[in-house]
Amino acid sequence: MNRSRIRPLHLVPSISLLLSGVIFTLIFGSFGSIEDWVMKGLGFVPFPVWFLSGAILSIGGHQIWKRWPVGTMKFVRRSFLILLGYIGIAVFVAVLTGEGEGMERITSSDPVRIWGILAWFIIASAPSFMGVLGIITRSRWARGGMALSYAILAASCMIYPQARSATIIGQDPLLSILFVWSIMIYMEGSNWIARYENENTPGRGPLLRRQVTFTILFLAVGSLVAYIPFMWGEGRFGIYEESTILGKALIGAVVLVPISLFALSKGFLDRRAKNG
Amino acid sequence: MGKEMKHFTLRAMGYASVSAAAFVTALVLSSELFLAASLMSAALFILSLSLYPRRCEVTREMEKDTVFEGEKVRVSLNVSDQRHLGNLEIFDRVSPMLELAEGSNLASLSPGSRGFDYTINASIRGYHRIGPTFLRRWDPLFLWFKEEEIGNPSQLTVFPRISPGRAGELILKDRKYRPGDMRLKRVGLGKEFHSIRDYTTTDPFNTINWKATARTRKLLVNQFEAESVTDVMFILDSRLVSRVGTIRDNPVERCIRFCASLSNELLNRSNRVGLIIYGSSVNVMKPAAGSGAHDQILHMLTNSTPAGQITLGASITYSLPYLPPNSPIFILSALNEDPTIRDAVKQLIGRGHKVTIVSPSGIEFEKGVYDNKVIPKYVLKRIERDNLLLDLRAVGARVIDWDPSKDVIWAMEEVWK
Repeated sequence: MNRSRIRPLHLVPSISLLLSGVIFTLIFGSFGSIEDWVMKGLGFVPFPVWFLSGAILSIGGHQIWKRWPVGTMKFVRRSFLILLGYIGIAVFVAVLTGEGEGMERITSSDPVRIWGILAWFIIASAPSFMGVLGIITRSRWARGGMALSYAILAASCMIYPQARSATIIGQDPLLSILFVWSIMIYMEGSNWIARYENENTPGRGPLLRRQVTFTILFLAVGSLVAYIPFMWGEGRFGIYEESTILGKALIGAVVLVPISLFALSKGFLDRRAKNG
Repeated sequence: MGKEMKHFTLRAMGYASVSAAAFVTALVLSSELFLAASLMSAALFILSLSLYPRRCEVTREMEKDTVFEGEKVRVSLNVSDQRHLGNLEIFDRVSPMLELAEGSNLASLSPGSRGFDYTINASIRGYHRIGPTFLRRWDPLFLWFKEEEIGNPSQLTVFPRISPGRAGELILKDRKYRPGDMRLKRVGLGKEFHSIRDYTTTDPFNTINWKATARTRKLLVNQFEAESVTDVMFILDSRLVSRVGTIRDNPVERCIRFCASLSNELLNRSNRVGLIIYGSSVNVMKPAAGSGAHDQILHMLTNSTPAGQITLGASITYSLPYLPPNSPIFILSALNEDPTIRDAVKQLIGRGHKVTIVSPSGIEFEKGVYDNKVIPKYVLKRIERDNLLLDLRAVGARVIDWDPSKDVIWAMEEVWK
């Protein structure tokens, strides 16, 4: 099989990833303000820059890893340890020598802020880094990591402006749904490649067409369902009170976290049983 | 119906977890984006699982269940019901000794398809199992499946390959004279009239048919039916040490193919053929004639598995009562790792048997496996084997040293000489 030939099927995850980056930039217009909070003056770097740097790093890192797999892994492991060691020392120094009272001593410390920039760089570039890595290496973990890092980044972009203004800041319904579409199509597109890459597979065409049709159909139904809450208006959902937020979180955690944990553990156990 | 297994894929677990985690995050952050992510992944997951295919039956049809080595067999799998929106994946287990020639034994059925075919190449003799069939029923997005074992396995009998013999009559010096006639429907040296033909200068005068000559005014001679009344015994070495080389081509397999081919030729000429196979045990088939004997020999050869270390001497001692007096005996062996060979052959010749040894050289097969490198151990083994062959010839046995580069037809030609 000629791997160098680019096929339409292989373009699906790449285009979806690119679209997700564009839509994310449009949804979170206040991205710069969070960066300014992390480090004053950093706000001029827009999300597409982080996105692009993550993608380039992923391609470059993969090339280096392919040539020197052991050395690269050693380097990455040691770098993370140095980063962790650095934050420990930075916090300790800030507590001893910093200005101000309590937490202010740590948050106003420059060494801690430098670490914050590094952490922010990792968080902001992780979606594209993991996404591209998922396309290149076809790693399921990288694909999952892409979705998770988008969730962390989106949550960060929501928490800071809401906490600063003490109000609930909503998202555009159409863009939100389109953003979820792009991530879902990225995930499903990777699965289509894995399943239908071999062009000699009997019945490939009809099977692929059926899976694509059903994915679009189910996502369309999901979009209709997802649009309903946007029509409710703010109501209780939009109240920014500590007790309301805690109450909602408690209900969510008690009911859904165990289900989520059960689903994940069952998935892993099933896989282990299947692989022997 | 076999055991049923259910499996969620990692993707399914991911969607379920994302849905739950995003819902909690949506509640905490009052985020419509996370709520949309939660509801859309849940919709995808639930809708896909709701369109799950029903249980169905799969039947297997084989073009034929008995073939010879090298032949191909078409296997068809048919599904009873395919009116559903999910996916069906079918895997038909095939013995690792068989090769797939065309198609695949694993297939996802495309929409509207009622089954699939594949072709297997029966490359090695034996009783091979095809099946059972495994059926996986998937939802439309391949998130979850149920796997079950359905249908019974089928058996494919692969007989050793039979090579065609040379046209003409195999000259077996000692004919056995039995009470009654053993007539062949072929021209030969018997007493029963067969046909009339034109006279040639080498025909004896007593065969001239004078009445026919007078009627047609040219010399015509009578031809008579051939008669053959020979019992032939084959002694096949099926010890584990004789299986040197690859699984498809080694001394045991060569001997088996030779035995199948020559016994077929002999039986076609109305001789009686018997077979002794020794290895982990000694199996004896008394001399018999006809298609029944042919089938019995083929089944014995097909069932033979190289194993054990019973010697030629021990197997002959055991099977002496079954050897017809003065009958020709073919010993098919690599002649390795057996100290009793000389004495056993002497014993047979002493009893009046004409012994022919057909010996595929085991050390040559071994050399072939090691890229034909000549090592000192090989040279010593070669000398040892040559000495043994000389000894066997000296005691009166006819020895055919079978080089692996020569095929079964060559060995048969050698026997014919």
